[in-house]
Amino acid sequence: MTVTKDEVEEANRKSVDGMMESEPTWVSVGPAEKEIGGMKKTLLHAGPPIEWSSASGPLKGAIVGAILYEGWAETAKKAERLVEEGEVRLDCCHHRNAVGPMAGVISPSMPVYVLKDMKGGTKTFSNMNEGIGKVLRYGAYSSEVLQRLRWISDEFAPLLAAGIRKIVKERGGFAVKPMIAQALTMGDDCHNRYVAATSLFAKQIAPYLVGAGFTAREVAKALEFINANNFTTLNIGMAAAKAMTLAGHNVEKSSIVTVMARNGTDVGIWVSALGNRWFTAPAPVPKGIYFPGFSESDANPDIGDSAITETAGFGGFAMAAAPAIVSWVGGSVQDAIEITNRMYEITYTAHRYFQIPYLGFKGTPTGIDLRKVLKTGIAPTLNTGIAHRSAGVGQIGAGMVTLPMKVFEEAFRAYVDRYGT
Amino acid sequence: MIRALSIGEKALRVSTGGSRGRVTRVFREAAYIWFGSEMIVAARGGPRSQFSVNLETSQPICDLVAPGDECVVKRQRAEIGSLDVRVEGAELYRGGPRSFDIDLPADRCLLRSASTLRMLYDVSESSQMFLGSGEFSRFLTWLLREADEGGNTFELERYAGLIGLGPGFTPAGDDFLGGFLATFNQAPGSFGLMPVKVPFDFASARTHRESAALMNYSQEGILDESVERQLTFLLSGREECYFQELLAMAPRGHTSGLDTSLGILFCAAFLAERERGSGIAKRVVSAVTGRLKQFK
Repeated sequence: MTVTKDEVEEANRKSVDGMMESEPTWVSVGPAEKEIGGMKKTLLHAGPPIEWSSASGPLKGAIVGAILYEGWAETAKKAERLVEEGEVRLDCCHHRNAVGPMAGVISPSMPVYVLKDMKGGTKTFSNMNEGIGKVLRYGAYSSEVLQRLRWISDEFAPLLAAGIRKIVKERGGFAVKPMIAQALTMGDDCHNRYVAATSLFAKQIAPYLVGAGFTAREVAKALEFINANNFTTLNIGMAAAKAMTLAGHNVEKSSIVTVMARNGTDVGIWVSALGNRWFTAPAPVPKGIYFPGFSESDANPDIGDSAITETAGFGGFAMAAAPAIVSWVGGSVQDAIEITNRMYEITYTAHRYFQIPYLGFKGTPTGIDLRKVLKTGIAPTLNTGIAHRSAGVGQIGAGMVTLPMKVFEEAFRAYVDRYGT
Repeated sequence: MIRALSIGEKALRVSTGGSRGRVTRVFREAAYIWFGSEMIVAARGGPRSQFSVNLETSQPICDLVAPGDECVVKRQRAEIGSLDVRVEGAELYRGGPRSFDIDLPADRCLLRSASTLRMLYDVSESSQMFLGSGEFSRFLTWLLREADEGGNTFELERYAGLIGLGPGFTPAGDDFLGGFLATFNQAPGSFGLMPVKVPFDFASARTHRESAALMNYSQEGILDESVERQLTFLLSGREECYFQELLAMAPRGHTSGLDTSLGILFCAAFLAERERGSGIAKRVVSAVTGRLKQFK
């Protein structure tokens, strides 16, 4: 099959319009097994497919932690053996319309946010954010980590579930896109800076949590948790981005990238017209700011599904909206602006709804066009947390990373093979 | 003082021949320096060539030197205006035409490459100024006829229309001809053809002197290593390596990388047509220009 320039343009317009016009709405909370399904003795993880033997330290740590959390094993050694012997299966979050930050491990009992695209009807999912530092998603699995996960499952999630039920009853659900749009004008990038978004989230849901039939102590504890963790809404934002990119996926002839994801060993992408086919390359190590006592030599290669935010047209692509982020990921304010400006060269359009005040309310760069990446030689740049390369340690910093050109070259070859011969 | 990573054999000979050089053009990535009638290029990193000095610097070249600056090169250091360059320890790059067994690419490879280039041209502004031009169309029509009829391809006026054609410091036509003639002159003997040489004075009357000099180097087989690898891999049937080089060159300049690659590809298609007579040249040209009726 061969395609003309106009046909590709039309396909890309359809794909990116789909992304921008989707309406991801938080509609419920429930256990992954019930909401996602098909998770018997299965763990989902971030990034492209990976075998246990090739998995990085933080991913292995998170998998062990999830197995302990589920009660499938009593010790880390026994947990590892379960995976080695194939008794616990691994699958990609993206294969189930789910996303998870960093290791992104989702186990059957873990509560997940359920979002629905009110335009297209698809559902997307993400797990719940535990906070920063020594947490499961960075590969830590101490008793403290497991205890927190159980609190999230036993107390936090049911409270959120009750609250969202009320919101759904009253107004159909919690619209996430307007929250992201507003947060971008308030100094967030909605990938590594969620200060405004989480404040907006807390402000909106607090009244529904108060009247949800839980004790004042339980509600206060939940709100304290949200207040102490600015990344509470990261996972909701990611699930929303997944819904947006799904709305632009599987469009015949479209050269728009619809997934970018990392598993701590490899980076992988999807392209709209090429379906769920992964194009992978070794993941680079981010460059950034390290917590005291740590350095780049301790860092794990890039990990996480959070690159879905850039894929949807915000996150690192909107860094010009979030000058304060440089204190977290490094660089200067000018660097942040230059990164956003550079990303316009590889994207289809400026977002219709996500705007950057500093750039005269110009829309964020949206819809990565595979052809433009190859023509310009500019690969997408994201910001990200940095995990220690050993399991059990946790986060050691934050920084920026540029995806390897190799994944885009491989994808482009496949696109040419499909549409150019 | 900045360090030279490499210096081409020709650049070293030209610059240490006794005369002073003068910078005529400066851009972010390169400065063009003339020593009498011979030109060298001072580049920021980038592919090595016989005629370049590749500098280790993160600063744009245009921040370091200016048009009119004098250039003096001694064995261990060079001065370009007020810029001091340590040449000692730089790799001496020899490059140059290499002999290899010609194994023309299969039709499928040529078509795949044509589609690749077309898709990349589709996202390049102003590419139609060259691809859609009457001069280019006339050149292609003539070239395809030559391929069909096995004619002699050296008629200077056929190439003249492309020189200086299109936008850019190295106009698209010059880059195309550079790639085309570099490829053609690599292996004419194998196909019963004579090399094609466009005289420098003829070219420099129609385009920038610097662009004419680059074209002259190309037709003499004095290429930068990326171009050299691309055409070598293509003509020796190493398809995957060739494709990798083609993609690596795509970001070069505004469309310089694409135009040079197009010249290489069209020449290879021309040679394949003469060899196999499969109609491949027309299909390749159609695949890139999108003008199906005219070139089918």
